[in-house]
Amino acid sequence: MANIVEIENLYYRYRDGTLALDGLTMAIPRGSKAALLGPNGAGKSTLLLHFNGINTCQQGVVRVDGREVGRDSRWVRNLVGLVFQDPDDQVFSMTVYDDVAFGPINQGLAHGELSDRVEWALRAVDLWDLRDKAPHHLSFGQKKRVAIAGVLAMDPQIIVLDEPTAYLDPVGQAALLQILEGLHAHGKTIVIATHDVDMTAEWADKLVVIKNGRTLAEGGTELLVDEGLIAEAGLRFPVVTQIFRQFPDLAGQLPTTVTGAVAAIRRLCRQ
Amino acid sequence: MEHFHLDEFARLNSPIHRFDPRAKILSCLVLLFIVANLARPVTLGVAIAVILLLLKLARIPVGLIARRLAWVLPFTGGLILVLPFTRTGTAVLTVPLPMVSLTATADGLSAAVTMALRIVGALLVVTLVMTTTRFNDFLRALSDLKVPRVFVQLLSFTTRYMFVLWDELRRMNRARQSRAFPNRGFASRRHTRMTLGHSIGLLFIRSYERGERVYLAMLSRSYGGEIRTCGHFRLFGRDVAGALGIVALGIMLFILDKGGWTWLISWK
Repeated sequence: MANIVEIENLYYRYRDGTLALDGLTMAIPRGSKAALLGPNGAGKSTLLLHFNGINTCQQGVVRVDGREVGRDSRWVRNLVGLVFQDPDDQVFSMTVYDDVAFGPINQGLAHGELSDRVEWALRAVDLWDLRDKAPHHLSFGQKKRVAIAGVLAMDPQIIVLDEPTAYLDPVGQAALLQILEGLHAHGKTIVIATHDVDMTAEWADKLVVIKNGRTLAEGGTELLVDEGLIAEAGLRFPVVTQIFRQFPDLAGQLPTTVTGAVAAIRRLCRQ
Repeated sequence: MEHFHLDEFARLNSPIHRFDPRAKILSCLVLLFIVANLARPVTLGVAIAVILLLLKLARIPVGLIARRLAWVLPFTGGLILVLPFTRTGTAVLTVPLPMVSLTATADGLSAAVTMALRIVGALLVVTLVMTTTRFNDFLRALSDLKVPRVFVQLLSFTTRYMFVLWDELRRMNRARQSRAFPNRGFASRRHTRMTLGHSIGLLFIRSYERGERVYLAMLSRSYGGEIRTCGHFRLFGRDVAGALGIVALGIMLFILDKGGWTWLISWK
């Protein structure tokens, strides 16, 4: 199976009448680094809650690993780990260790298996030394890593993060991307919801652009140089692309990443 | 942001710290009941001295103990001040007021002293438990002791999110001040009252919404209505001995308080 998540024609209306998802269709290939890109209020967070069955489909189909997510959606939470935007929403225990152990205990793990899993997850985010700390004594970046460890400890196939780099300082962002890179190398599928086009350009290999609860476009990072799409989606070009757009006579294909830009400049110098 | 520590000194190492939390809680609860019911200032004094000795053994700083005691002063201070004037008996002190004159009696005075000593004693027992047990261990011990789960979870969530709420409150306060909101003149201006009222309302709504998100996040990690934790306490012989020692201390105080020494003397 090529796609690990498939969503067809999904609608979702909130109780107050707001239509958050309006016939959205998208797919995420297994083992990809996917970015759901869209402005605030595009329906990204609502969509993410469908990935692990917290929001049940009002209309449409959500399939994870080939299986339809229906009313009984407990199984899907072992497959999809969801990291919330605000770690204070997710990290509720009195110690870091207990919080990371929460998920695996719910999965029925105990004794050695449990402690191995928790230790592995805490080491993966480099927080093993802080395991006895109370969450309110940690920095924002550390709390974010606790939240990620809490999801990792459940050993999901797909890790979904809502605005993972929001409020993080540059060092924190770099550490986070490194963690995600490591997980991807271990065969996990990673999905992030974001409006950070620069990070998306550098990191993602699959893009889904969303606006007003619909999919505007699906594809690779080449979407980020599509002028019509960028304008319609309420996004902007990556900084690198913005610079090269100032020299329309020079660049054949617009780069989106720093490495791409360096290669393009080298090429121009040689000419 | 910086937060105060609930259990700053609970990581020290002493016999009291190593004492199994369940045995400590149970035996200190017995001691608490007894201390709160002692009637003689002498036995109360002995009890306080012994508990202070235990706190010293646990290397809890005197400043912290004093601060804990100071916390209850506003609640009990008034009561203790009024008590001497509420009994009939030999007058000791008379305070003339414009309409009436208040008379403190010897009985009333000794009742006030007893009450004050009881409060201090009981508070010291609680301080002994709470400063030498990590809060997380305390909660876990409560659930091991079959305290209803709802109660333990309520305590746990309250302490965890108290800090989050406090941060939110501080941020809102700073944001108000940044737009030249005067925090003074509280009740005098309608604008001030309205603003603060709205802030409190907003805090309620935010907490409600956060509660919803916390619950969703818990569901996302396969929450099924029960919070289970890992790790268990182990009860050693020295824990049983310690618990028995504390209970024995309580019983001895109780016997002495009821006039036990006269029995001892008359027994000879």
